[in-house]
Amino acid sequence: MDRVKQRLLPLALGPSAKALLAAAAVLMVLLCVWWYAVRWYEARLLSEERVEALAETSLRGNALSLAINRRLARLQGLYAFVQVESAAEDLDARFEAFAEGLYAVAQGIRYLAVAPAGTVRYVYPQRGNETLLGYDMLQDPRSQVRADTERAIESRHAVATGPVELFDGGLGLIARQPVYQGETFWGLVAIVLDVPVLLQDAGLTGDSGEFDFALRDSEGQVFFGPDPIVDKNPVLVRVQLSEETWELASIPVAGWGSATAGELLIFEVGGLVIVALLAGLAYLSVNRQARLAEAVRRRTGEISSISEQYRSIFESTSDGLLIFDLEGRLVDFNPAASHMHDYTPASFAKVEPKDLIHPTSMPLFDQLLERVRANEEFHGRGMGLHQDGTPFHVEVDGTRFVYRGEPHALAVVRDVTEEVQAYQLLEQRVQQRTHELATLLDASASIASTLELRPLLGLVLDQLGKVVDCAAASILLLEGGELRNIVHRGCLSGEDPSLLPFVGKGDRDLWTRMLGNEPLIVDDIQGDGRLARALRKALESHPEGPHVRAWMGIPFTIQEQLRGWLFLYHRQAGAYTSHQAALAQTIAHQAATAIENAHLFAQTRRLAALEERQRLARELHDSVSQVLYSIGLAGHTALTYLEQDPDQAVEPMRYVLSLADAGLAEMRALIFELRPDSLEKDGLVVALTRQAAALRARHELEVKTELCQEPDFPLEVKEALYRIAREALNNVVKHAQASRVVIRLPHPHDAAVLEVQDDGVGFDPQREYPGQMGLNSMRERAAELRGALEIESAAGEGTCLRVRIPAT
Amino acid sequence: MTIRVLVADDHKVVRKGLRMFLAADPELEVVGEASNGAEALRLAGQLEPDVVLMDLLMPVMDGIAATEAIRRELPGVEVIALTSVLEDNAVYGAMRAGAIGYLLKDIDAQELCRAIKQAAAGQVSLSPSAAERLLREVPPPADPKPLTHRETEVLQQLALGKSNQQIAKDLVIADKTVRTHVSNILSKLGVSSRTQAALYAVRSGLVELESPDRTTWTE
Repeated sequence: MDRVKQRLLPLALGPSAKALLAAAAVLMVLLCVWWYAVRWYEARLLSEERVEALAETSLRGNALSLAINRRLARLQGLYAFVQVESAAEDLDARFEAFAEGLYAVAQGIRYLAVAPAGTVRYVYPQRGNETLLGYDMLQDPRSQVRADTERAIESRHAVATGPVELFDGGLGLIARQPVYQGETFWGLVAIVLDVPVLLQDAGLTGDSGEFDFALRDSEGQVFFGPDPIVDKNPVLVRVQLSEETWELASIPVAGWGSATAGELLIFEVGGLVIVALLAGLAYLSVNRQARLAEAVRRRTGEISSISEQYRSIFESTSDGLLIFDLEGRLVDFNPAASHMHDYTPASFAKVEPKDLIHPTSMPLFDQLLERVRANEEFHGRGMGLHQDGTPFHVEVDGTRFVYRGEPHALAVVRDVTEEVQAYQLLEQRVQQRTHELATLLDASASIASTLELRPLLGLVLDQLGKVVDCAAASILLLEGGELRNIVHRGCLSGEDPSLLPFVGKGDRDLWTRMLGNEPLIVDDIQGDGRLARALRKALESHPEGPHVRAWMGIPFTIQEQLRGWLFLYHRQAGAYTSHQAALAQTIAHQAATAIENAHLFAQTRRLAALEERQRLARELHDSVSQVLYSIGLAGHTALTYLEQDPDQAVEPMRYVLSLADAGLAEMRALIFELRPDSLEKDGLVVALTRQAAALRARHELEVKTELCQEPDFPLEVKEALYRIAREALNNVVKHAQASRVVIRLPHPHDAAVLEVQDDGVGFDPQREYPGQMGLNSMRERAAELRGALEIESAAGEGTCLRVRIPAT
Repeated sequence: MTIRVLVADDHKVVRKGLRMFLAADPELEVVGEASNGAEALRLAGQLEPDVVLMDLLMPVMDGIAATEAIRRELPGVEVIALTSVLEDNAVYGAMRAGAIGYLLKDIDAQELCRAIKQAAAGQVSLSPSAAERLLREVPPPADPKPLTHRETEVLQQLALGKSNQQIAKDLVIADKTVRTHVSNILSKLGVSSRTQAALYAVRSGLVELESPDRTTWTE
């Protein structure tokens, strides 16, 4: 059964199919029941109907029997009459009177006859039956009649025969009774009845109601009624004649069952409806049940498969999965986790977090638990421990996780040792590469800083030799309308290649090309091509000229302007291809960049020098030139007064002298500025003193200095202090409108301190001033040495600027 | 009547030298000193000098801004730029700001007195090198209309640095006529000042710019 079920189940496509199956089974059973019920009911109805039919038929049969026997009883009367009167003379008359009496009693008697010795002598009614007179009954042509007559004579009982076809037509019943006088047969009395009349009397003819009737004689011959009735399972009722038995058969007019058909139909239909309802009900209930069962089964399957999946993911994932309760106890883990720490799963179950986590990373674990408790995610990197205590790098993601109904911490641990090592290796390489680049940069910077292009371009050519095969190579720069060799590698290394201008100018076509921007390749300069010939001529005086076969020229440009050419010479014809041209072009590009860098560097230096000169010019303008102008004015004045009033010339002359002093002080300060080593040589105190003197001379300010002995500061500190002091004094002159300035350099304790204080108008140090009065550059200078700038000032209160640079 | 002069220079030595020098000329009187442009503007308003000697490179407010402000607010005060700076845009800037003269601090001291007096009379004074710069720098009048013979003569005189009275005297015409001519010249040349008109004259060869070693081109 189970196997069948198993075989069927895959076919039973689903719950509804199963329900259909069940419903169909129920339907079959119910249909059987219904069928039998219907058949049973039908049989019952039929038997009821038959009982009814039997009752009706019996009634009719009895009626017929009565009708016949009542009439045959006339024969007894006639027999008795003959018994009594047979000897009478006037039998004729007597018979007629007696027979008339018998005959009148009932219809249906065809005639009454008396046949002494078998021959009919008397018949009543005579009218219509005249032909019977003289008829010998014993010689009846009808064998049946004859046999019955003989049997009657023998048995001395009345015998009825019929129905028989009567001579004068019609169906009749003949009954004869022999008459014995003593033991002597006297003759016969007979009565003949008209069967139709009998039947009518019994109510079988005409409208017989609901039933059809048929009669058959003892021979089984149907002599009345429709023949087929006897074949249709009729109700049979015997009709007993004297010696014969007829059977009255009847069936309902419409056939059996027709009367009950409606009832049966109702029963059938009703039954079917009930069956259908029951089957439907069965389907629904089975279906619902099946659906429920199926849903439960599927859900169960799903859940178990999901849980299996989870478990299998948990087991098979390569990340270590560790489940901790919120107190940090290990509750569950996957094999990867134990494997990662070099434990067997069995021994791993007993470990504690401190066995798994490097002490330096324990705070991370606490952090993880804390975050999970706060329902937050955790991500971090730390160190794990193998069983033998060796550490390894891990990346950990922590998340809240419901495990067995309780919140837990799920830690997903990934061994990132390789990644970390790879990263470290990468960092190392980057550092190495950076170092290389820095070295290279240093080298090129040092080359460039000499402003000597040739070594750099020489390097470029050396590099070229590694990339493109050549017997010789040179770099030519376009200068003053001709191409001059700047560097050369080959036969004349060591000689000054700048002596060798490229003599291609004579050939217009070649020169046009040399001024173009297209690489040129000549497979063989000993060949016949126009370019080859021109080049051959151009290189005639070149030391490489005699040996060269293949030649390649690569132009290089700076900012889209042709700046020079890279020439490559080869002793083998056809040595250069476009591929090599491309390679050489990258080298040419480097050459261009080197040249450009050198130019830019030179330009920058020129610019810096220019700036320095401009600064000096400004200084001179601000100081010495004003003094000299003033000296001129005072001198003129003195001259004027000398002509008019010599006494008055004294004051301007004195002024000239004081101005000359001031000019000298300014010049010293300036010269101090110009000498790069002056601060180092003369010291900060001297420098500040000179500044103070220049200030006094130039602006007639009262400048006081409170300076300690030359302090032992590093040079850069002294430089910073000096520049800041200068800038501060500059500000005093320009903005403060002060009359007194104090410059202080107190004896240093833990820091170098310098103060510049004035009694000028002051300002708000918090405000932004256009041009910033150099405050930013002062701050930057101080900050470079981890120092700080303080400014105390307010409108009308003067200003005190203090710089403090900590001792290193 | 003395010419009242305000000296604006951030160098005290220069202020003092100027004061001493100008005091020797009885026609000139230094009425004040300013150490920056803003102070110059303030003192010019207070003292109403005839001429301001203005250094151009000064803190707080530079000489050009101060010149512009003074010329705008006190049209009666003439400004002479007196500076050691000789840069194209400084010259041009000072002229545009309305300075009537541009003198370098290297000129002959006597020229300075004369320039102050000329400025007080409304005459242009330019040091030759400054004038050269101006010629390069100042764009020529866009669409000058032809001048009459008389106007050309007046322009020549004007370009020589003469005042209206001098021109009237030299050409033997009325002062008023000279003023009308000057006004016509300015409008025909499409320029706004005598300086620019004088420059036009120099540019178009009506007058020769004298060589730089000669001090100025006046007379």
